[in-house]
Amino acid sequence: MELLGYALFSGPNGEPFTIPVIEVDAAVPPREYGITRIYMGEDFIESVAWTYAIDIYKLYNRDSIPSDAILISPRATHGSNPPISITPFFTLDNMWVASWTGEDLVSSTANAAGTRRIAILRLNNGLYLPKIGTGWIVNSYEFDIVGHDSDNLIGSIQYQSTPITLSAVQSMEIDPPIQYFYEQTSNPSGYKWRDWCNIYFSTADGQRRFASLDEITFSSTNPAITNLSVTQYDGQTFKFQIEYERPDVLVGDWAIKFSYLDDPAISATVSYIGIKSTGNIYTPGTGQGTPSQPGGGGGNFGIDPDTGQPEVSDNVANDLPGAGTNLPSTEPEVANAGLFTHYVCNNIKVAEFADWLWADNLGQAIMRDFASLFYGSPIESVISLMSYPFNVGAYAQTQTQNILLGYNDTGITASALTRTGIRIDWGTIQLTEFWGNFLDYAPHTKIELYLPWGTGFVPIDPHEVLPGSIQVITTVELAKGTCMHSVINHQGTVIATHGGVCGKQIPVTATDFSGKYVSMVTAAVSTVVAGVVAGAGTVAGAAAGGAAASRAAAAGATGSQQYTARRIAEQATQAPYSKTAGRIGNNALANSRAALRIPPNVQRNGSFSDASAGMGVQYPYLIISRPEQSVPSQYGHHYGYPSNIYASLSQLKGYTEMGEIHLDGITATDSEVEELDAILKGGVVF
Amino acid sequence: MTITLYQNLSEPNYVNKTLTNPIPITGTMRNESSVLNPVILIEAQSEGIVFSNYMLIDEWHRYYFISDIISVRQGLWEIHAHVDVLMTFKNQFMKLSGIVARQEFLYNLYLDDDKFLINAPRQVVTKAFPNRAVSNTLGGRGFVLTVAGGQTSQGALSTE
Repeated sequence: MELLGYALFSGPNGEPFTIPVIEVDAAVPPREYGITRIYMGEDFIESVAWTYAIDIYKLYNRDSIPSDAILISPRATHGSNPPISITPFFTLDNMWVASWTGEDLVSSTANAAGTRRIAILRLNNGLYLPKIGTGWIVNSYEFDIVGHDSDNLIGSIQYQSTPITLSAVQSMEIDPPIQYFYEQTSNPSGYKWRDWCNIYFSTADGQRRFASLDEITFSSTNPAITNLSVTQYDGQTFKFQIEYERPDVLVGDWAIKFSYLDDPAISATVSYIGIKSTGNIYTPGTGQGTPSQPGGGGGNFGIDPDTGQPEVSDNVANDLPGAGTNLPSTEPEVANAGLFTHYVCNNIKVAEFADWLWADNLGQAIMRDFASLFYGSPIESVISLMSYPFNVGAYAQTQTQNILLGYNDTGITASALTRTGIRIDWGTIQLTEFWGNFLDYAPHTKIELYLPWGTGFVPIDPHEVLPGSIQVITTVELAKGTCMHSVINHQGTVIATHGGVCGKQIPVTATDFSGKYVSMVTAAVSTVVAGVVAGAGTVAGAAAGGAAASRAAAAGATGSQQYTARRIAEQATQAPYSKTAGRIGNNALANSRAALRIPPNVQRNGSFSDASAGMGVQYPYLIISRPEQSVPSQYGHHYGYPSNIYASLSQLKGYTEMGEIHLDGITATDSEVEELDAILKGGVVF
Repeated sequence: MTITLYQNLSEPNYVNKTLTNPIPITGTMRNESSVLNPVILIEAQSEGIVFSNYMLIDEWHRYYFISDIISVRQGLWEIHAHVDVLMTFKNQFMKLSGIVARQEFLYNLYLDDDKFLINAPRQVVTKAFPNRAVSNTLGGRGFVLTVAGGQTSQGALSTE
């Protein structure tokens, strides 16, 4: 049932008054009674009096109406107002119901199909003296409409004179409609039901706001409501929560009255009929789960045998590698051990590094490769270059320094990793039950989780994440490019882990002048040595020059170099020392140029690895496949819903199939007992 | 013996029947009859008998479904009936308790319902996790260069 609000009308003297408008969904399984609309019917207006008509939706759909089915009793809600008198207005002919004890219930007329307009009231006119106090001017009268089996208020009519300072409840929202929770420790019956309702108050001028919750009092007409607390309040709207014991599900009508402290006449009543049978219980979010009594008898009922305390889940998610402060302590030490270094680069740094490796300036190349004579080729120091589909620097802990290839300082600054493990938290998705019934779980509902970087789709068991949440944290090992996706539920339990590869290896190439440089320098050195020796030959003679030539040859010089050496030796015996030395220098330079004309080697390190990981969707997501239910109207009335609950038959209403019952104390014949047993198990309507 | 004939407007499996148009008949049983499946001859001129489908025999403390009405001759009716155990013993079995298999209002929707039908098309929804991996400007990529040496536990190596 939904209280749509209050309709505002003008009285004979121009005073406004309101009538609550309540409507029940047409698809509602019929309760024994329910108010669909309360309004002022035009057909019943007389010139000097006001009448009120109440539409009753399918008032008792099967049985005769007990005489006390519904009572309508007027009462004034403000003590200073004159008493209300109600006079008969119509006769009781054509009443759909058999009889009434309420003397104020005077007539019934046929209305639309399935609807009866039964209650016609007439009030005496006027005489409502406005009360003035603290800014509130109120006159109101209420008529309580009480159901026979619950003694609960199921509706009310208000009459208010001008000015209406509080138009009372404008709407009521049950959000969520009904849920249950299990509270075994404080409630022996094991179950309580909990409702949340949003109530919206407003004033006629739209200006009045309650200063605090203290201005409002609450009272419940249902003694089974064990708790009522306000959870939100903004001055005009508040949200409250009620709890009531499970047996009241059977007669779950309730009403809560709100009154303004300073003037109790400012009041409104929110009524709620039924056990949410006012909607299709298989509509989303309206399911009421009622687990059967704990069974088995051998379980530990959640008690940890080690501690004797209620068992709780360990939050193993905090122990993930790379998870904040829980990083393995050995990892930074390995990263800083001096055996290797990981540099985090962006594309600019990689380009600078490539420029350094492929130096286009010969002098730079020579200077770079000169160090290779002592420390080896720079490319030999490169272990790997990995490409990642995300900005590594945003996650990594680093230390800025120049990129060093062994002892070769590239002069390029980059961020050296202090830890090779990083953690990417993809966030959390909250998951709630859609249907609120068994269809939300396996095998009816299927949940698949897509994980990026080569992992793909993996199944998720709905039981492990419903109702609750699912979170994905990916730990990446940057040195090798592998990753591990950890799937965590709302209890902090890692319910699945899946490996992937997010890094792609890129080969590193470079020019290498070092080998040629060695040849060139060796030749030049040999020449210089030969020249020096030749200069000394002015003293030592041709024999010494011959020896120089021999050393040149022994040094591995080319044929031309050996010839040059011989020429040096010859000139050494014929020319002054200074001239000979100059020629030696010229020859050495010529030899060096000859060595430089030989092209350098191109070296490479590594190769391309599989790049398919970067071709898929780059973030995780869920695909939830749910069944689409097909529920005819009145399903519960014709089939009933699975129960498996032990109950007294006197508590039951509506369609019932008994699973098991012992027919003790029945004064019937055996055949009658057998027939009764079969009928009760086959389905009866209470 | 008093027999009251009724028109029953309720289905047979309703515990509480809606009974209208009662026709009380008083007489004496002249022949033997089954209590559970009685066959009773009634001499009455009321035409309302043919509209009756239910009856109460007070002395037998039982309600009956009328299964057949035979017109023996003018004013004489033979009524075949069967006991309605629900209406007859409701005050006794309503005090009992038992395990409810299915119920209109008292239920547990987490129990698998074998009578429940689902459509062939299914709802398929996709929910993406809210966070994305931080990307840089070049196709969202980052690089890690791993080289030999280059760093010590005290910091970067040097050539000195």
